[in-house]
This record gives sequence, structure tokens and C-alpha cells, in this order.
Amino acid sequence: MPPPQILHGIRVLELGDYVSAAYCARLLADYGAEVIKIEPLAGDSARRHGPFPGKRPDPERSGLFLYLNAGKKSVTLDIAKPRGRDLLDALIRKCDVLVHNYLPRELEALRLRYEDAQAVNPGLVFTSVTVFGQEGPYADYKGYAINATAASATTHRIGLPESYPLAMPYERGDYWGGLNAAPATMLALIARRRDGKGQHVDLSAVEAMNTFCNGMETILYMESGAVPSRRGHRVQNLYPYTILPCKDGYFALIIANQHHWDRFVELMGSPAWSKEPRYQDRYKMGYEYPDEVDAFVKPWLAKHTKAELWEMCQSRGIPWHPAQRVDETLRWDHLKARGYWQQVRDGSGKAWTVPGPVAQMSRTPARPFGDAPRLGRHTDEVFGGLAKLSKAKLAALKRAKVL
Amino acid sequence: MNDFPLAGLRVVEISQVWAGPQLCSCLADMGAEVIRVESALGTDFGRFSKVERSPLRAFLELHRHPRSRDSYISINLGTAEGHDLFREIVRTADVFICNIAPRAMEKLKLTYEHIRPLRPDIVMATISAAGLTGPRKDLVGFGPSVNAVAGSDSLVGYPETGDLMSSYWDPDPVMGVAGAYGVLLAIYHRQATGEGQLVDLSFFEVLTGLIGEAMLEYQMWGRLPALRGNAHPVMAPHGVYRADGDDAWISIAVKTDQEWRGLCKAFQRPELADDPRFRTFDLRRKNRAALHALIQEWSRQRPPDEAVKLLQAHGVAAARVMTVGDAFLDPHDAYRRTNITVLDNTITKDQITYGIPWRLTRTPGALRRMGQPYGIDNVRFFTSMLGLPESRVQDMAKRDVLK
Repeated sequence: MPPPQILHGIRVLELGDYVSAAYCARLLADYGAEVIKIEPLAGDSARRHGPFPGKRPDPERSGLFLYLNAGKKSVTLDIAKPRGRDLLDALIRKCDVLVHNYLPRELEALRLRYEDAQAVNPGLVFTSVTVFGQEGPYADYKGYAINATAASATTHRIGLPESYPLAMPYERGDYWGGLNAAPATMLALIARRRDGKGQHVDLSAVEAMNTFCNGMETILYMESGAVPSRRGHRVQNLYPYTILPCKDGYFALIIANQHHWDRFVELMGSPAWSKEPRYQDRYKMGYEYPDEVDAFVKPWLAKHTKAELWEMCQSRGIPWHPAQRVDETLRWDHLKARGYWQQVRDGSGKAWTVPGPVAQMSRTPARPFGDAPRLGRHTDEVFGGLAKLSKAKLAALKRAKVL
Repeated sequence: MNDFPLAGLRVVEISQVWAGPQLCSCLADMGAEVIRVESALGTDFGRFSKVERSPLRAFLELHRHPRSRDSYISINLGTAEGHDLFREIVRTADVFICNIAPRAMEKLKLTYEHIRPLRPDIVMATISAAGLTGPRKDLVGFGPSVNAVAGSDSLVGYPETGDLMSSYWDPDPVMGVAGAYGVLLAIYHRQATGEGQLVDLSFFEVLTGLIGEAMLEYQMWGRLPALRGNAHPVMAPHGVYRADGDDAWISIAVKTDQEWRGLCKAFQRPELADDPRFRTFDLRRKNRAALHALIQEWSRQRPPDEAVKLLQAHGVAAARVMTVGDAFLDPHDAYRRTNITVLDNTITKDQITYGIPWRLTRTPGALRRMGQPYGIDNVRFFTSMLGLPESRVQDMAKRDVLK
């Protein structure tokens, strides 16, 4: 018998183009929710994003789409058409959660504000996940991931002081929105258990990042007016807090208590410089002359490989790690042994390896991801079942380009 | 209706630094009764970093992530008497969050095997670098350095030079959010079935989940993804552009033709919309260098807020690259932020702080108390919650059992 799934019986309607809402719904699907992804007739834009095998575009083989939508059902529906909009209500009636990433003005135009959906289904948890949230002066601002990381003060801190700031990699700002929307949705499902009533969950990626990433720096700013700025490969902190090159790549010397640093100095053979008074105060070393200390450390690092450094540090309880390349992470025996990776097949049946669920649970493990759906693969099943449309009606709606 | 979806839930917490404390704040803000247990053995090194404190460290410790707890108590887990007390508390708890290294868990007899017999239906969540199983489960590390091993750090840098930049800002908060999702799933399951379980959270697994696309690029292209700065594999323009002002920058991303035409209008260059270099999605991507120069030329003459406002008025996704201070002073941010009165002994003024970014409109929760000094609730907790006579509590304090 397969293990029980926590969200078995929870039906999620996803109206989420690209990353943020789709990632939230995938996280819910991982633990057993039935996710119905509503795509426009042209398909989710992630289908056109790639990466594609051999760089040949194919809407059924886009890597980003596969990763975000594994295990979901895909239906096509034009909700801008009145008939389509009515059919959406028929699905809303049968769902527990709706997750979307529309702006307030778009919801208004679609008659899909929370109040509209609630009138159809009072028990619905209606989760909005956008860059700026549903309320406030920028609520109707468009935003992609790069705008989210910019507005949440992370971009300004990454890169060289004399060069342009760097955004966090890939669609990180959008993942932030989706990741936060998942626990927020769970809280609304927990609250619903008491009285059967749903509610509106309004999630802003910028607000989540500001709150969770900047708490300490914001208080510092209020007290002193100082803001953290770009420091290149390091962060201004007690020495060391940096990524430095070694023999075959980079090594991250990040966070050290005094005993970690002492052990590292010992590991380097307690060189003469390390005994000078100038190199005892790690506050000064980090804030006033970190380059000078780097110049001593780098030649020693250059003599060792990432693997050697990792072993030497870890065996001494020094919490430092190599900056692995993604291929090294994919091959790493530890994650394999944990059963972390999942296999997802693309539209041609070829399987690809993708990162697994966020939590390993002893009694109710995440379900295998399953495959990403072909565009509209479940249209007949979902509308025939939940909206009770006959075959003839389905065919007519397809001819009218509603489905 | 109660504002607090987690009212009635009792959580015991042993956690340190950031990820675990943040997770428990999320539960506490939402109404769980959280008992924060600290120990002089060093269950939170942040509390004991006397030598290594930056000037405002003591102040910040009180405000950052350990907020909203109902009780801040201290127990010396190295003593038999202290351990017995802790076990008494666990017997009354629904959830136990343990955010210390797996080896320390063993040493302090805090593993699931130790805890479960005391309360068979407990939800126990552990947060560690590598998880509780697998060949490298004993790796020591903190969020930012784990980001390096996961592969994320190999993706942030300047393509012009190939240098990697430190981008450490979000690993701990990402873990805190993902961990909360895992815990809430387990709570949801327990409410339905009465069953507890172990939620094994690994920094590696959560962080790797945010770079699935890079893992697929490697597999699908047969080569490692190159550093791309702020460029996007699909969107162009997509980047950070200099604005008028000291270290002032804005982020802009364009995906659709409609957005592109909006940008041309905002620039008052309608002829660009049909420029043969930029007319379509594919052409813009091919000619992204020319596009970048053109945008840079426009943006550098304009103050960032003005440029963003103008672009957004034309439907273009843009945001200022904010410092922590900019973000805090921003009107949108201020609109969504919480102002609270601090209820503690150390700070007597109103404190403006980031509130709860998971906006549940019907059951919003509340920030109930700011962080408190170590062990401040010992007497109240042990007399009223465990029913011990005050004289015994004083005596235990004298004998360093409550340390």
C-alpha cells in the first residue's frame, strides 16, 4: 500500500503563469494535493522558456516547465471569454485552494477578485502570489524575479562596489514568492478546519524577502543609518566571510567563530604572519584590511583542491564548504543516498533528474513527482468530470476556442 | 473568529542563529504557544558570542528572530536534573523544533528516538546542514556556506571576468520558510489523524530546490551553465541599469511585445517598437547588447524612482535597486509594514518592524512580543506551567540547573 499523503483530497486550482504560483502549487502537489493547472490556449510561458534538450524549442520539453509542473494536471481554458469565465466558476466550486499570480487590476478585469471567488465557494482558500502583493501603492506594478530581488534590497548588496549590482541567480525572486505562499496556504487550510471558511492569502515576494532577509540590517539602519553594500567576494563581517579561489575552483570560508579560525590557522601550519599582533583581531581583519589577510591565505588555498580542503576543514569541525558546480551537486553521493533526486519525464518520454521535495517526512513522505503534463492533456477529464460537460459540449467549446 | 490559526498548539524550541528561530517566530506569530529553551551548553551560540559581538549585537539579538515566544527559559541540558525538566516539558508539547547539529542532538539525547517515547504523537522537526541520514550527515555548516555546496554560488558572478561573488543573503530565511511548510504539513496531518512524525529538513535539499533550472541546463545542454550576470536566457532587455544618483540603479525586464511597446512609449521613442533589431522576442534577445546600451543611455539621465514610475505607467516591469534603507523608507513597503509597541523590559519606545508577510486576511496572527533576554521567564514558567515551588526554582538556578 502506498504511504498516506497529507494533502490527499485537497484540490488546487492553479492560475499561475511562469514561476511563482506554479512553484507554490508544485509544493502542494508534492505532498498529495491534486493540482489542476489552467493554461491559456497557447500554454504557460514557462513552456517556451527552456532549457530545451539540444537547445531545440519544444513546449513539451522545457526544463523549467517540467520542474515546476511535475505531477499536475493541465487543462486549457480561455478565461477572458465569458463562456470560459463561467467554466472557471464551475471548477472553483469544486476546489479547496486557488493559487494565482495576477495583479489586482487583472483580477478585476477577469471578475476574479477574492470577493468574486468567495461568492462562488465560501470555503475557498484564495492565495495571491505576486511581486508587490495585492494592496499598497505598487500593487498594480508589474514585476519579474529580477525586480523582486531589486526591490527587496538583496541585489544592491551583491557584486563589486565599483561595478553593477547582481541579482540573485535564475528566478530566485519568484521562487521566494512561491515558497512563502505554500506555508501561508497551509495556515489558511488549518484555519478552515474550524469553521469551513476560506480566506484571502495575500503574498508579496518583496515583503517576504524584506521581512525575512533584512530584519537585522533594517534595525541597524534605523539605529545608525548604515546600510550593507557590495563587497565583491566577501561580506563585511568578522574575518573570514568570503569565497576564495583554490587549486580547482572556489572554496567558501563563510562564518567562523574564533575556534574555527584558530583551527584553520593551525591547519595552514601556523605561519609566522598569523602570530603577529595585526592578525589577532578578526573584527579589524574583516572590516579594515581583509585584502591583506586574503593575500596570506590565498597561496595556501591554491595548493589544495576543493575536495582536500573540504575534508581537512570538516575533520577539524570547521564549517566550510567548496563552491560546488551544479554537475558536482548532481553527482554528490550524499544527496543520492538520501533519495533526494526525482525523475521527471518530458513529452517525448525521456527522464530528467530534478531536485526533490523540501522536507523528508517519516510517516507521510512526499509522493514521487510524476511527469509534467502535456498542454491540455486533462481538459476532457477535468471538464467532463468536475463541470459535467458532455463530449459534444467539450467539442463545441474547443471549436469556439474556449477550451 | 480567532485571529490565530495555531491557537492551542504548544511548541518547544531548541534553535539557534536564524533559520530555526525564524521558523518558530512564524508559528508563534500565528498563535502557537512557543517555549524557547536555551542552554548555557551553547544551543544558540548567538547568545554567547561575547568576544565576537559587533557593536549592536546585544540589541539586535533581542529583536531579530526570536520574537513572539510565550516563554524564554534556560535549562542546563548537561545535568540530569535539567534533562528531566526538559523531558517534562516535551511530554506536554505538540511540536518540537530542534535546530542543532545532528551530533549535538545525539550528545544531548534529543534525537527523535529519545523524544518520541515521551510523547508518541509529537511532531519533531530537525534542521541541519545535510539532514539526519546519508554518508555526510555529520557535515557542519551554516546556511550561507551550504548555498555554496548546493551549487548556487557557482551561478553568481560577472561573466566579463568569471569571478564569483558572495550572495549569502537568503539561505537561512529560505530554510526557515521551507521548514515552516514542512512543520505545518505535519501539523495538518496530526490534526486529521492524531499521528506525529519526524520532519527531517536539510539545508542542502531546500537550497538545491531553488536551482532546478540550472540542474536541467547542465543535463539538457550537456555543458555547465555559464555565468550570466543579470542577463536572462529568454528575456531581453533584462538587467540592472545605472540611474542618476550615487550608486543608483534600476532593474528592468521585458517579456512580451506589449511590454516592449510600452517601454518604447515610456522612452518617447515609438519608432523603436518596429526597429528591425528589436521587433520580436527573438530579435531582442539576439541584439541584447545594443538594447542594453540604449536603455543604459536613457536610465542614467533619470532619478531611479522617476524612471521606475514612468516605465510602470507604461506597463513595463521595473523596480529600483534598493538598499535596506531605501526599502524601509519606501512608501509601498511602509504601507504594508507593521508598527508595534514593544512589550519588554529593555526597550520602552514604539518600534517599527517588519510584521508578518504571510497575509491571511481572516486569521492574520499578530506579532505578540519582541525577543527577550535569555531565561527571563524561568520563574513564571517553572512555577505556573510545571507547578514547581518558587523556592525549588531559585535553588535550581543557584545550582546552575537553569543555566
